[in-house]
Amino acid sequence: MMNLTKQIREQAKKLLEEKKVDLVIGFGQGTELARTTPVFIDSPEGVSALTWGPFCANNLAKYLVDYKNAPGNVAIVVKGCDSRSVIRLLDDNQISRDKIVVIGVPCAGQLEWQKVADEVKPDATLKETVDNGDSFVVKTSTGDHTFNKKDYMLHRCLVCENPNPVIADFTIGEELPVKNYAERFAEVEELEQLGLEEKSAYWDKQFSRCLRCYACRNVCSVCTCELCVFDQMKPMWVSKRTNLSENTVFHITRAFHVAGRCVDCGECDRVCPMDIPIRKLNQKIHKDLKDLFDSPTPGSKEGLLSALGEFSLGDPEEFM
Amino acid sequence: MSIDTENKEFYPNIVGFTCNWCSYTGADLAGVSRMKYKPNVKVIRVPCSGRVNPAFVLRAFQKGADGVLVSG
Amino acid sequence: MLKRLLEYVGFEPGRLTARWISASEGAKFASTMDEVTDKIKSLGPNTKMRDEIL
Repeated sequence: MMNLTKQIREQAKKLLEEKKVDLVIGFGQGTELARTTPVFIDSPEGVSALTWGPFCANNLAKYLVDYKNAPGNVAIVVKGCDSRSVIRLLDDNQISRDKIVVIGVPCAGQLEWQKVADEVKPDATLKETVDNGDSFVVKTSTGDHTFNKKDYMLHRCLVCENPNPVIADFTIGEELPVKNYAERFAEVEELEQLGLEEKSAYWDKQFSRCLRCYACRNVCSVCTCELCVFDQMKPMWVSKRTNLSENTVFHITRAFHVAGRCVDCGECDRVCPMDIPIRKLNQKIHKDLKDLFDSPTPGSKEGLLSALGEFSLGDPEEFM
Repeated sequence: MSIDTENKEFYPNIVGFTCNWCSYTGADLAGVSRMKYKPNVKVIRVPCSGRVNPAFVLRAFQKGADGVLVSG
Repeated sequence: MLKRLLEYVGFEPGRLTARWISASEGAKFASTMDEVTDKIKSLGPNTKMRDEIL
């Protein structure tokens, strides 16, 4: 991991020195050991802020949208899942290809920071992380910890499809094999098996907790509408009231709005302060799209049309 | 005038989004042909069934519809 | 797709219907109206996602 960090820094430095880009967006060490923060670097001296490890869960691709009208080029550090977002943004014409430089890093999985923080002393500082295939060894100033990937990784990493970036101008390190620790749609299928009442009760319980902070929308790399339907006042499709009815509408609308474009990066789930399993809604759509149209995960290939945005005569019509 | 609420049969409220060129005209034809059908569906004319946004459907359910019919 | 999603969050299947009726199919329109009404009647009133404050 130290090696990769070094290579990322070198690459960023080179790009900035050669004036190929004006800004590098990457991961930097956060205030806590198990957290990283996005860093925006505009000078070659600043690259030492960049880091890489099993705590780089953020999807930085959304920041590209902020720079779409800014002068100059932007380089971005992406994982496999983030690279799908980049493709999606390119296909949506949100950013132009010649304005961005993608530094792809094959990712061995990201740990859930809460689980790690529970075990590591709060005053410890990070020394090094080592990837041992099925586990990460996190070396800290107060001792070494071993975290099994199966138990400590984020769910989206357990079912990862693209550990290697699908779009990259520079790839750092070696490509990694696809390794899954769980069935991709196991959780969705479990929920589908439930009876109507149980399903309804389950989601009522989840949706009633929603604070409508819109963090899931703001973090989403495919939510790029200039005026969001939830902010719209005239007509006001979804009112600002926070009750079960409105929350249900909000979540269904949000999930359906990104249907066929959602890249399954799992950021909505991660940022939710109320731990609502938002990704389960998106995954349900992914599963149906796979069943009905046999469409791959959006963004996993360049130039892929959205499954709900195209029509072919062979499309199933189950509602007729 | 008093309304007997005790024995009142459930009267479903159904919202029908109908395409101006297909179903709405079809409904018109059903009308001029003097066909009989249940009156529960409240027909809303839309310029095309492609105009129907998922938000319309959700909004209808939210505001008291028991069922929604989208036809084009 | 929306139907499947609604069922996933706990709506009864059949609450939402989509039909293709052409302008010359008055009879089909009439039969669809009856069919949908009967189906919803058998399902009973919708309680999910009802906005109580009106």
